[in-house]
Amino acid sequence: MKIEYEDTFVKVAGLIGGPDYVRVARALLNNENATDEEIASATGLKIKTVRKALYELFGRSLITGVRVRDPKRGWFVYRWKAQRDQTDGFIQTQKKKVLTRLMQRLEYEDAHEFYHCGTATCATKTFESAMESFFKCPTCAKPLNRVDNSELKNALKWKIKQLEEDINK
Amino acid sequence: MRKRSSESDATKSVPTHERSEEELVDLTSRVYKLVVERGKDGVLQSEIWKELGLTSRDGSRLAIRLEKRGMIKRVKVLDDGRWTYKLTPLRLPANISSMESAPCIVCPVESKCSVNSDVNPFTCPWIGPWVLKEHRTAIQMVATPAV
Repeated sequence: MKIEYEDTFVKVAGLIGGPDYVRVARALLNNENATDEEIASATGLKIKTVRKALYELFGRSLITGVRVRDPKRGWFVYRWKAQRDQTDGFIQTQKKKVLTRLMQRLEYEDAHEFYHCGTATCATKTFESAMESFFKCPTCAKPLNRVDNSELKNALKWKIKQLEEDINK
Repeated sequence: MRKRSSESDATKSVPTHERSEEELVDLTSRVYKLVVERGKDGVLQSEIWKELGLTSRDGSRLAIRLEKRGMIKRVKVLDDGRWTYKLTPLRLPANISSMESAPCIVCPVESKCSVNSDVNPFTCPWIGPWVLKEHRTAIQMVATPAV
């Protein structure tokens, strides 16, 4: 699904939940103050999927809901509206959060040596914890071998640079 | 009085109201793309529908759709003796390419993630594979440029 030239709100919805969320976001833009049922009929998605998407977007303050009484049936329904002024801020915040975590991870990768037994389900050990277990995997008992993390470090540096350039644009 | 050919065009293409939502979304994003590419100078609505092979009615409806969403501004202008609209972007599309498929956005324990917690970026099982995959894809794209 191409969303390169879409509203930022739709893009953010796509980042959070994929194609179903994109459809819900588009329906919200086309029909402001829509109920979950109206969105479900406009998108052809199940009401359960629409509600999940709406609650998730609401949880991230990307949409607001107003409780109103349904004039026909008498019960309360929520009418949802996209908060498009929040989306740029949301993206910037997420970029900064991810950048901080990548920098912390790079620092950790730089400061440690890593050992692994080769079994996919077993955890990678640092030199200190590998020494404590006499370089034997505490889970599968196989010998622990040094892991070359240079590719990961290069990838982290590349991503950090990309995010920094993006944030400072 | 000169008849507006734009309004009386025989509709070669399918009218907007008969198009599926997917087609409409695609056309809307193509119109938005053209408007964004022209930047602050703007683009005439008549140029857009000609370039996309649409009728003037369809072009106008798509432009109105974008205007309603607050993505573009439509200003009535006289061009070559005919009234049309100049479209200029109000919002530029945000660049999210560096964030695509970032695990933190969908991480179920993201709120607990910190350096002093059991859930931390050092032992995160998703960060490593994500950056490695993105880096490898970028290297491949540099090695095999599109023809």
